[in-house]
Amino acid sequence: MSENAGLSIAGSKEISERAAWWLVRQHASSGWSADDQAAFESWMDESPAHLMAYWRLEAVWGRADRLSALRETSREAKQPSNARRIRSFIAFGAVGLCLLGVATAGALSYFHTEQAGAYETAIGGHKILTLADGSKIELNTDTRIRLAADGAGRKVWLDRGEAYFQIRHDAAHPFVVVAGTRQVIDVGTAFSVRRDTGRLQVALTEGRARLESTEGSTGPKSIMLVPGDVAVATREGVALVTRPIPELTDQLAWRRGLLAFDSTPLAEVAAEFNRYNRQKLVVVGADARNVEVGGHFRATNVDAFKRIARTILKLRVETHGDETVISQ
Amino acid sequence: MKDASDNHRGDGNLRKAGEDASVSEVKAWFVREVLPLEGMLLQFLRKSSSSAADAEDICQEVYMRIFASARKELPNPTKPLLFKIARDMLVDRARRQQVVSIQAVENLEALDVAIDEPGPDRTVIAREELRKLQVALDKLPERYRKPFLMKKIDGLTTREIAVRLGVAEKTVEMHLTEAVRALADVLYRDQLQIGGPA
Repeated sequence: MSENAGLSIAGSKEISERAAWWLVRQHASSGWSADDQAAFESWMDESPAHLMAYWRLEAVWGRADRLSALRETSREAKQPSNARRIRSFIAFGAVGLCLLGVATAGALSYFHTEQAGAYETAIGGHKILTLADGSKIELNTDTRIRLAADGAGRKVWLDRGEAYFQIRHDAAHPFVVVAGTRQVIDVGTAFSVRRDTGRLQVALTEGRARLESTEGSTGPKSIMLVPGDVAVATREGVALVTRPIPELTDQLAWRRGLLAFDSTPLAEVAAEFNRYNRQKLVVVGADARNVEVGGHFRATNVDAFKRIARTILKLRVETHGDETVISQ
Repeated sequence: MKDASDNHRGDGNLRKAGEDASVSEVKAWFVREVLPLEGMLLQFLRKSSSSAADAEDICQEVYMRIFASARKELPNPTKPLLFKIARDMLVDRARRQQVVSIQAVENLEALDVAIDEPGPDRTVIAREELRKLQVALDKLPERYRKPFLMKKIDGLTTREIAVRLGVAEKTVEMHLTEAVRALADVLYRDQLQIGGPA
């Protein structure tokens, strides 16, 4: 635990046990020799941690002498102090309720199915749609999709933003997500599609899907995706990388209202936050932009992130209106 | 640290050259000012640490740092410095690991509020500590409580206790060791709850 210069300190539990042992030994019948005293003193000299652990127990030991005056009352004071336990129970209870809330929201949307038409989320928004066939579409921040009219097949247009698709497989009626000049055709699957300006990313978490180009002249090129595949399509072409599934799950942390980072440069972190909030983060200077950040954050809590930047990353943070400038 | 041994029983009041506080002064200050805050400190550290044991180790480090500071000059008031050290330590750790949990942030924020609150009144602490000690004692398992009461209240020697309870003297010593540690934990680490309904 201790990384302090040259001090090697045992765990606090071991020290406390040792301190208690010394304390009791001094008051034991077996006697306290000069050697014992010397050994005790050298232990106390080794570290202030030893001193303080000993003082702490010695204070209790000494205070107990005063108990004799209260001896007769010792039975009446039998009040278990459960306050802390109850408090932490309430705290956990609150978390439980939140989770239940999310689960209920999910269940409710599952029982009513969506009509054809356009669906949007605002910046920081999150919405779950359930289709007639049981397929689910989860919309992330600032996203717009359109569902094909009934009978027109299973087809969705992603106009902007990001969505996570959990598709009921139906070989006779493949599910198609159209995003600009590309489309994803599911073969029974769960995947996310994110559409930014000039860039489309498809990440597959389950099953199989095919990514196709719909631009006619050169003929549709298609790539079959398997779990872990992340395809990034730009005007120049499609790059395919394979990522461990946990990493993909991190990328989908938005489904829980979180952003997950792992050694992510601050510039990218800011860009992610900016997708979810009207208040925009601007990171200035290469030093600050390259600061690496890890951990989970609430996507819509920019203020918390600003405090981290200030107190933990020790960066300058200045807010003017809707813009916050972070610099070294 | 050389003069620590002179004062381990709190008898001496040697002052080294300069303004340095003597070890016995630091000891009196530690027992009077720091220990009553241990419950609050640990509660804060626990929420921001991966495990309870981890929190206790950090608590130890916080004590080490405030000890070093107290050797130069006894802090007055103690509470803001203690929590500033704890806070800085958590921030350092977070920076090293580059991992900041949501909870850690929220706790740092809660701490700002907590530091501003006045600590419990000292006479209340003393009275409540005694009451809590009683409660703590009642919660101890019989095999720890009996020898402890025999030792501290009846004034028996460990050998006499061993004879009365029909166990080895070593066993008595071990149970006393457990008893005093358990009592300290209840006394100092539940500190925040002592103001609850009587």
